[in-house]
Amino acid sequence: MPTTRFLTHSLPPTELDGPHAAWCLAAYVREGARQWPERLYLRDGTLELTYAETWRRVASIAAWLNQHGVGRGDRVVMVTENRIETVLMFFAVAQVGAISVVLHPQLKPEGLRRILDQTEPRLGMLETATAALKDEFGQTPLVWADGKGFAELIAEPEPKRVPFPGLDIDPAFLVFTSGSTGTPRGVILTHDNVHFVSAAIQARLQYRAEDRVAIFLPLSFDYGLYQLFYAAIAGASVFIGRPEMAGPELPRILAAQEISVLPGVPTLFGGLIKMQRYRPVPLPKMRVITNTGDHLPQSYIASLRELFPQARLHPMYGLTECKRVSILQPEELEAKPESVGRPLDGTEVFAIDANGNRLPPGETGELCVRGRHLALGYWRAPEETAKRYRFIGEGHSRVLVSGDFGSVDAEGFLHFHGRSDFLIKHKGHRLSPAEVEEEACRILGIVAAGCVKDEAKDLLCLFVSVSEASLDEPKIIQALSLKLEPAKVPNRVFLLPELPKTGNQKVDRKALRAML
Amino acid sequence: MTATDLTPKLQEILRPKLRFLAPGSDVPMDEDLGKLGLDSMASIDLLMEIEQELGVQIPDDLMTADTFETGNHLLAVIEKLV
Repeated sequence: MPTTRFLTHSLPPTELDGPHAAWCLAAYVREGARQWPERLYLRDGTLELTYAETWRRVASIAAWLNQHGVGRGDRVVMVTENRIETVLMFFAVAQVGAISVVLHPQLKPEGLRRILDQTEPRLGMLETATAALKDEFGQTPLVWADGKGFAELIAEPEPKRVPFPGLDIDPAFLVFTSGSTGTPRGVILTHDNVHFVSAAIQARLQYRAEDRVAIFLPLSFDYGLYQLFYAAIAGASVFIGRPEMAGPELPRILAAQEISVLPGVPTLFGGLIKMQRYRPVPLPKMRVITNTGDHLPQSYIASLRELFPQARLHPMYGLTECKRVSILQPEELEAKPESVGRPLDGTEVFAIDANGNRLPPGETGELCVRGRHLALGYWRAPEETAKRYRFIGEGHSRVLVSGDFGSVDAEGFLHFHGRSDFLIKHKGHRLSPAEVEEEACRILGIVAAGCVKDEAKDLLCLFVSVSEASLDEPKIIQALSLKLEPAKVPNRVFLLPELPKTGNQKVDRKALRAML
Repeated sequence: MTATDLTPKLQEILRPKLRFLAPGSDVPMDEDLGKLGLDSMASIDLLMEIEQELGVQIPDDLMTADTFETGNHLLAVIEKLV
């Protein structure tokens, strides 16, 4: 079974690759190059690389990193659009035992600085499109993904092999996400986390060797990134697209690239449905469609079934802290239309009440997750880590307390009832209202701010009280757009003489939601 | 219609979709529309409005991210169609 080959060590690593090489993330590419060298792995519409060609380039970069002193535990921060070079660097970083940090290209300098302060990278990677962020890196050496030097570097015909120096339990990469405070937090994923969860996900989704998987989600978003692993397990190929392709041209790209697996978020599917209604084109035979990031409305499910009658549609639920919690199988959709599926094999999910007691089936509480997919925690944030990853019960079992509310029914299916007050899901992104509020309060003239989501209208709303009469909605939105990534900028701003407060003088988000 | 007539018309269609545009300022024709707040969903609405209000149909091979990158890119495409 190809889905379990990393778990069983069926392919003994060679000495050249290091004693624990089978567990290294780079094994996805290396073993692919060994088993099906000629199969296509990466495509971007111009460049095409087979598994063997990908591995040779990854090995070249690994040798270069090794030569430049980037090794076990070092961080490498990449800020680029989705591109093949970033994928190559990512696997090379894993091979030398270093830790990748792949960030969104629309990140603002302030946001990047906060992450660089936490991660203290040994190396950064930018491209012309993100060159404006260069100064934030200070003295940190930089490589340019679209530079001549990098192109020469990956052209090395017979790179020196660098053994993987780490263990399976070592961090492989950090995924930065909104924390419960305003500071972005890096979730620490190990090589083992990824191997376990990718095999478990592949067992449900069943990508095949002939599949053509499309990534339109940013690689900084874990579900975009992980497509590289699922595809490699199956020996499939991946089209490295970009989020801006998810507009008017999306149906045409799907057709031209003969995409058979489409992972997305509700806004991507919404755009696809709208565009296809407006100007239909013949769509490819889609085999698998997966949704994550936010609830997929029933109307979208119906439309997607019309557009892709042969596709297997999987609603899913997850959070970066363990990657994926549950996946619904298409056969189960009819009987459980509102469920996000059963937990991954080898994992457990249950709800707890406010006192931390495990609830019986069907009762709603905060969802808790157990399993080998639980990340190590948040990078350099022991307090926040201890809040989310707790040891509970007699066996001192380690549990991820998700912050999401839901229930598990008697048959083991999960039902999601929404996020806590501390996190908002909007346009497929997870954001912290505290981060938006903090940024708003930095605007001169804003006294207090409260951020909530209008779920019915799918709008991110900000309530503010101001001391400066000239501040209005467009001015505040424009000012925030300079400081926050686009998905975090509120759609509406409402001015109030005073914001409602809770007993301990915090902005009362519940009361604000009631005003919508 | 000439380019001089088209520019204000296009700017009028663009303005409400550029939510990060400073209030009161002109719609810059050379700036990245994504940076001005146009997301992929909004670019579909933009396409529909351009076609309906200007009476043109953007052909398939020009329906690319490049066409929707800046106001001037859009203008260049539309000019050839009217």
